[in-house]
Amino acid sequence: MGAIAVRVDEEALVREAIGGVEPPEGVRLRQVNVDYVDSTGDLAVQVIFAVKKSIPLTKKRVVQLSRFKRAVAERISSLDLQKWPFVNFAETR
Amino acid sequence: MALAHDLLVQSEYLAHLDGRRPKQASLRRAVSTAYYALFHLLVRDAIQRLSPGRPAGLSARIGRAFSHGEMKKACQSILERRPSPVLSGLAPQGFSPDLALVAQAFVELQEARHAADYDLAADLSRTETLDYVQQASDAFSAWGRVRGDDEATVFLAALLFAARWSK
Repeated sequence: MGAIAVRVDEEALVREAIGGVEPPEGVRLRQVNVDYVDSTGDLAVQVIFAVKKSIPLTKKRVVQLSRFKRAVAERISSLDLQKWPFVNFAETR
Repeated sequence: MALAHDLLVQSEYLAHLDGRRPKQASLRRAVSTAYYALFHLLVRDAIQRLSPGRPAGLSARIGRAFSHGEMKKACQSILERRPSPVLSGLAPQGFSPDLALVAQAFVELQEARHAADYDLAADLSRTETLDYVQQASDAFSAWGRVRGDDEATVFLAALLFAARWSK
């Protein structure tokens, strides 16, 4: 019960932190996973954003997405959850 | 640094292959190559600073001593502001935003490389691939701005020794 409560609290904190970052056009939050285990076995936070495939992937767009990702990661890091934030993009129609 | 730069160029080339329907093989190789571009950039610079040029073969052996997992943990300890006392003593001012960007890119590209090479269940998108290539490119630029500074030398040494320094 306690572990579930902590997980829910962490997810709520992450969602709130992410909410403070304005996403680029065609980008919306899809999933927050506070129990993500990374490739070296460390517990981490994974956030997945859906990105509209119809928007052309110009260099400007890629830079914009990259900056957004960095801003989201910084917000999550500032929560001091002791979990690395991994931010991913999934294409959507 | 020809290999590292060539790998970075190759990762971008692979990310743009196959027109509107990119093949998973191309995207996965692009991500993996972007990680190895940054890996070789850092290891090459570390070898140049930490190893004498002679005898022949010594530099290569030192290069093989770098462990992906330990390099990741060194980067994380810097970014999470939990460096070991040794590292804190060597870099009492902490690390610059440019160096933090390099460390962050290293951790995230390593994870992406692992997924690209081993997680065959998930489809990799071109959006995500180009983002990783951009992240590697940004890390190269940031490294170019700090590589002559003392903090860069401490960082490179930490990539090899941080696990021992934390004992």
